[in-house]
Amino acid sequence: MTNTWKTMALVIPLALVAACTDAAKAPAEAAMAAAGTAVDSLKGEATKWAPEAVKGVEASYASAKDLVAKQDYKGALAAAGEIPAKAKEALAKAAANKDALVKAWNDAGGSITKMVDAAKSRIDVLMQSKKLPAGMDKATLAKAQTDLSAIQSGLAGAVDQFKAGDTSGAMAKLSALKAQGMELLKSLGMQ
Amino acid sequence: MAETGDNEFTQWHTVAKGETLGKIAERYYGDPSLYKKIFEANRERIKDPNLIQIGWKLRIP
Repeated sequence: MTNTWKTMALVIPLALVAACTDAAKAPAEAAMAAAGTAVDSLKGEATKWAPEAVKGVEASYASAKDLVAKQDYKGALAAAGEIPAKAKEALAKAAANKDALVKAWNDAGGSITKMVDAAKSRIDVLMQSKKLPAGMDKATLAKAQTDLSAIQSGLAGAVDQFKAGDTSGAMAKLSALKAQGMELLKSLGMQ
Repeated sequence: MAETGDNEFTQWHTVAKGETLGKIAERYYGDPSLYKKIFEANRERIKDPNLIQIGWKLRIP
């Protein structure tokens, strides 16, 4: 083999690889740009309501970036191409999680409000009673009033907490308030 | 049966033989004179506070 043929035997495969690599570069860059936009769309609400799903998308994007850095444009194109769909799934999951939590919040808050109304109604009547029913004395009734006030102010605090964005803290507070409310109803002979 | 305002925390009492609104009020409030509270809370069923029937389910406010 002459030197010319030897050189060609080495250069041609490299040129073909380079040509293929360059052919995938532009589509990969376009896919990366689309993926970047999709990842940006997850900032804010989605991060708050579906953090794990968002982390997954961000990890996929980081992997695609690594492939670009290694000039594996074909691999980057494949990886980046999946990201917009994953981001869409994360957004849908975030919306579903948000809806579920708002519903749970409304249900729990509504339930405690009804509990408070029932207890308040009974306390109002008992305050007018000349003699308290069996098993109840003035101290019990006074404590019930105090407990009712505490639950009412606790509920207002939980609402503020929820509005401020501390949804899990607010939900935990509602659970505690519901337990207190059940004890209150029990002390009033309503459970 | 339930009307607006009734919920899982509404307390109910089923009228038994020999009971009057006064006796029911005494049981829940300690004071028979508060029977009117029960009467008012059940106006859709009780027309006359002296006439209640066994088996009626009354809400106790």
